[in-house]
Amino acid sequence: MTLYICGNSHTRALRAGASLLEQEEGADPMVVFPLGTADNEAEQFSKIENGKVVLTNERFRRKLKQFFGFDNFEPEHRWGICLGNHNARIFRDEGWLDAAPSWLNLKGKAPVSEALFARIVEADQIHIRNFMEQLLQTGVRPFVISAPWPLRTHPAMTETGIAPEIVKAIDTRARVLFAQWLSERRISIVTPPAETADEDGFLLPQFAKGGDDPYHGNNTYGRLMMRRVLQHEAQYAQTRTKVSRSA
Amino acid sequence: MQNPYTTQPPKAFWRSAVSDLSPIEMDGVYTPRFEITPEMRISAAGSCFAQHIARQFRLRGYNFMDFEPAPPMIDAKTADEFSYGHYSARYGNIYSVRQLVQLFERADGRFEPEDKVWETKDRFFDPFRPTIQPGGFATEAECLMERRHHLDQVGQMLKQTDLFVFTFGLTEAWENTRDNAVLPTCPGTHAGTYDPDVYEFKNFRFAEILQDAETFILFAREHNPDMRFLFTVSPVPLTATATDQHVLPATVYSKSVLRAVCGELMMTHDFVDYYPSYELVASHPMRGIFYRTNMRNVASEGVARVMDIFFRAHGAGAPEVKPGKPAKAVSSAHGGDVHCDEEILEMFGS
Repeated sequence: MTLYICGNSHTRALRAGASLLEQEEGADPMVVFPLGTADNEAEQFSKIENGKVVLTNERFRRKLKQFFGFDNFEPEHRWGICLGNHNARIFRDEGWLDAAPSWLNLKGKAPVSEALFARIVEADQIHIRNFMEQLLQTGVRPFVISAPWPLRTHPAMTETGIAPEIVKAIDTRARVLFAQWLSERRISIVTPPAETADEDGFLLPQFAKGGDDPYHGNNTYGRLMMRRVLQHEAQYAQTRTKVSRSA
Repeated sequence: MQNPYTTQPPKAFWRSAVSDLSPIEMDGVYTPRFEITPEMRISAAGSCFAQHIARQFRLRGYNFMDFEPAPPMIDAKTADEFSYGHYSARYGNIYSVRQLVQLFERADGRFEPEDKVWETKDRFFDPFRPTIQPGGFATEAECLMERRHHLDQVGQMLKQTDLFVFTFGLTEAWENTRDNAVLPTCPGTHAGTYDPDVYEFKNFRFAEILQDAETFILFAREHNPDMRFLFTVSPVPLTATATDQHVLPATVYSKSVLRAVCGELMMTHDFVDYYPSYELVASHPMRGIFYRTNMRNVASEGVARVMDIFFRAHGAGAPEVKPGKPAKAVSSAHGGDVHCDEEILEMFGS
């Protein structure tokens, strides 16, 4: 079964990583392409049409056809979706200059309770969650590939001035909430390797794309992630084999 | 023959002012005692009907103060659900003046009630605003932290307020007998546990409410000697009474006492105005047309009329409706209904 991986701009590092693994280790071919930037996730981008999930975002739709040759998502294909955990949309809000997650117990900042924060995350992820629900409803069993940890050089901290501990707390909790949501639907997620994070949980510079890009992982990061993806898929294949034998 | 009535205007006579007119034709019901300018810093509190008043001040471009605004990263619907923007801080509904006085005493550090946090099913509630956070807080620490922040904001309010608007809601309340802390809801309804050895029903009387209002006025004017007050009485009847009376006479008692207190305050102080929202909705010439079918909830037409009369009397225009996408976290200004804590009591009726 061919593995298809699509998603936002973090998919580029995965594509580079997949390429390296294919060249260096002879990994099975995979089709890995980004559909567009994460901004496209902030609006509805998918719907169910004639029992199949189609992409309503024009850019996403065009790229799906161009790179994968599909108009929709078929249940017989294995899809890795690199959407979710791109929490910059949440932590870059200037409101965090005056507010902080309540569990940080920061004086002088308006506390944002856990329940309220969960609503913020839910609102941010609503279209991704809808997409995942649609895939499940139409018989597709996707798995999710996480975005990398945030970088210390993100302008939310270096330019806006939001405290790194607030950014980290937001990112960490948002990841937990997304993982819980996925787990409730039995969708697995491939998370970034622990060794790519510094002691505070930010992406280490050697795994960052660098230059003037304070958002993405580099090819090395992509290779590490794709190795985890392949491990995940190997486990998935084993589980499927066991299930089919016992049936 | 000359006598004082011969010079009275038509509004002073029942026939010309009331019985010859339909309820919606009635005019001159309210004459402002003082001007409310767009620059005046306005703060508001009170029973749930006060949410309408706060909302309208905001919508009509007045300088309505919000000392505890919603974090800007949440949308307006969520902000409303989490009780942001209902009043000038996130204190929820304040049904009695005693509760109002104690709120500012708490903010001032002069009163620390025995009731700290109520725990119900592993969730944590602020006894003095148990409904502001849907489902309660995740931890006791979070609840306490949110309250500290809340009281800090309330502590800023009075010195930055030129007009304080308060809607009197109920005479009936529940208090902790150990320290006389007045609660907005009965323990065991929204949250908490009702213990008859700790909590006691209190039906405030005229003299008590008047004294509490005078205490509040004095305290508020210590912070701003020029502060003015606009008082109203909520036309929303009791959902349930804890007295042994029928809920109708219990309601009439409650509203009558509150209305009388407002009259007394207005006659005593030239910096107090009373707006007859109660009369404009609940009095018998209105024939109940502004209530919904349960004769309790005020219909949106009723609210609109009450507010239009008030703001027309103050020479203000229609509410400002901004085109396009609503901004995030602009409070309940875009919401419809108000949030009334006491409505849960209907669940306990047979």
